[in-house]
Amino acid sequence: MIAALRYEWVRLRTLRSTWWIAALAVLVPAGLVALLAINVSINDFEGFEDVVTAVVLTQGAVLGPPLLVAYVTALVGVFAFGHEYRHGMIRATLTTVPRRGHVLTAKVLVTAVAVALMSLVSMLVGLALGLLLSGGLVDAGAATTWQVIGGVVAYCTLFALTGLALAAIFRNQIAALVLVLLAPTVVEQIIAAVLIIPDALNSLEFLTRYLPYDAGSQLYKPSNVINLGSFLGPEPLSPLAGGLVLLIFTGVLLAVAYALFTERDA
Amino acid sequence: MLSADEGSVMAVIEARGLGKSYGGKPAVVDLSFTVEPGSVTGFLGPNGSGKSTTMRLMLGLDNGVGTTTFDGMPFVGLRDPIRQVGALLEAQPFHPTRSARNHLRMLAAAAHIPPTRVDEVLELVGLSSVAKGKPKKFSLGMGQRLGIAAALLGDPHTLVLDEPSNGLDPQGIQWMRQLLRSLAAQGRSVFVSSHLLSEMALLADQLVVLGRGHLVATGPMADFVAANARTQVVVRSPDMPVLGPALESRGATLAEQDGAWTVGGLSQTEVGDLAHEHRVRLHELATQRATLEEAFLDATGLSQEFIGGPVPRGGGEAVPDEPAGGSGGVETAPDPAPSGGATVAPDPAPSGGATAVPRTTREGQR
Repeated sequence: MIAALRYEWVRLRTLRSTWWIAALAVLVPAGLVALLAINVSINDFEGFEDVVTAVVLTQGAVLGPPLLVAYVTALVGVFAFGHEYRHGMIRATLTTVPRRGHVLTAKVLVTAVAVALMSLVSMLVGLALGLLLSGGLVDAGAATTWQVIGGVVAYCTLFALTGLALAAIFRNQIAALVLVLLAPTVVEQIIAAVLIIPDALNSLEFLTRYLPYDAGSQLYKPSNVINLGSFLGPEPLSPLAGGLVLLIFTGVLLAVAYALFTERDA
Repeated sequence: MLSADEGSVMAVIEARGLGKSYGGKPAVVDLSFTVEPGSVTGFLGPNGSGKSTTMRLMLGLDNGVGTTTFDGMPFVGLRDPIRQVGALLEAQPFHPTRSARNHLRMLAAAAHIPPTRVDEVLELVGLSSVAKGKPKKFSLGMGQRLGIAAALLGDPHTLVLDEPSNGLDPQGIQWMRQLLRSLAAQGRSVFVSSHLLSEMALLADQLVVLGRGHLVATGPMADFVAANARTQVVVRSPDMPVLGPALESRGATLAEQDGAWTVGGLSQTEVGDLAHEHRVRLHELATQRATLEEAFLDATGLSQEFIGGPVPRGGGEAVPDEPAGGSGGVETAPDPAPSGGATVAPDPAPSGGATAVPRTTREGQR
């Protein structure tokens, strides 16, 4: 297992893409955080520090829109298996580390650590910028600040692992990429709309709470922050329950990926 | 250079009952062979005969039936496999923008191989100057050299190489041949596939011959050639109308091409003596040794496939272009198959047709 981890770690850090993903994951949110922080500083949000902090740090994602940093760091997960099949690397990998369970486990662990680190740095840089530029409205001591930061890190990590599993299942980087981009933003929205709107399906409305990416996004949405999505449809799950749904979904995808990876010809 | 740990560089590859089908179509069928240390074993077969599939089965990349052990251990069970078995497979597995050195460092990291060894193998394969180069800018031959560097990285006692000279220039091919021969001479097991017979003839000591997924022959190269294509005597004489029947009366088979006669079934000495007996002038008398190519075509039955349907056999069949009046004693069942310029395969065993050659070879070699 140590061999697989060492291999995977060198694989990840000798990829150029790892470094531009890390740079994007920090710089793009930082730019948006800076703009938002300056914006809130010239408005009157006294007394709403916790809400303002959550909105600024997630660049508005607590209110419903997609969490940008998660889509950037998900590339690390997609590439972890996508490159293996795109460039035939799987043969080099499996003739060096023949135990496929070890290979998959090492990829999961290294991807999880790398994505957690990238998203944590991204959030901390955002917090620093917020503290500097928001005129005191972004508050490191606010009750929800660290929940938002922790939630973003957990969400990004699970999100990237679903990308990893999809790339392993489809053995195709592009297919996995498209699915990871569209599943939360389009597919889940369509399913939710179908379940919520017609009267006949009202009894199924509760299912929208369990759409995995949406449920997982509750991880970084403190309950005192207004969730635009909850105007329609049922009350969302609590952060922990939502996180658990995404965790189970990720686990199922990884189990399918494992079963296929160990069965198939490389 | 490579350092051979004396005594520890002994590893036998044993493949037993390997088999694999793609969508019901068998690619490799019940294939068993042994690769001994200290020699280069050539894995020979036409394109599409199942060589790559076999190697992938051996390394656990493909799922199939049968087992392959390296010193008694399947590949998947090896500890630090690249220190024991170096592999090169057909398509080059490199990330296009990861440098050659970083690619090797990645492999090295999995087996605690020091970075100095990476530079050593890059030097060995002649890629030191492009160590920081990206594989996407490499030629086919450079990629192949990087693949060989990867296979040698762990100083393994066994090498499994699929078409290693692919894409190499003539100098590269010669370098590869010398490298593999020296590695075998150090006591390593070298198993190398090729569809190029001329290359194999110069490289291998032992052969595993595959045809359409089936084992055709295993054993020493020389035995294979001897068993599958007989040596022949070439004769030029202005007195063939006399000599021809005399040869046939001794059980020889004859075939003519451009005025030269190919005599099967008799030695050069016998033909010379017979000519002297009949006071016949000889302008040329030479022994023509069968090549690996001829043996291979015979053994895999490809010569027949390209010519067409089976040629009728039997005592009454005349040798093509037989000289007039020379049909004296043709009870010897000459094989009339005129394989397009390759070889006329005379068959000393009258019962054995061309299709029987692989079978007798296989049984004879085991």
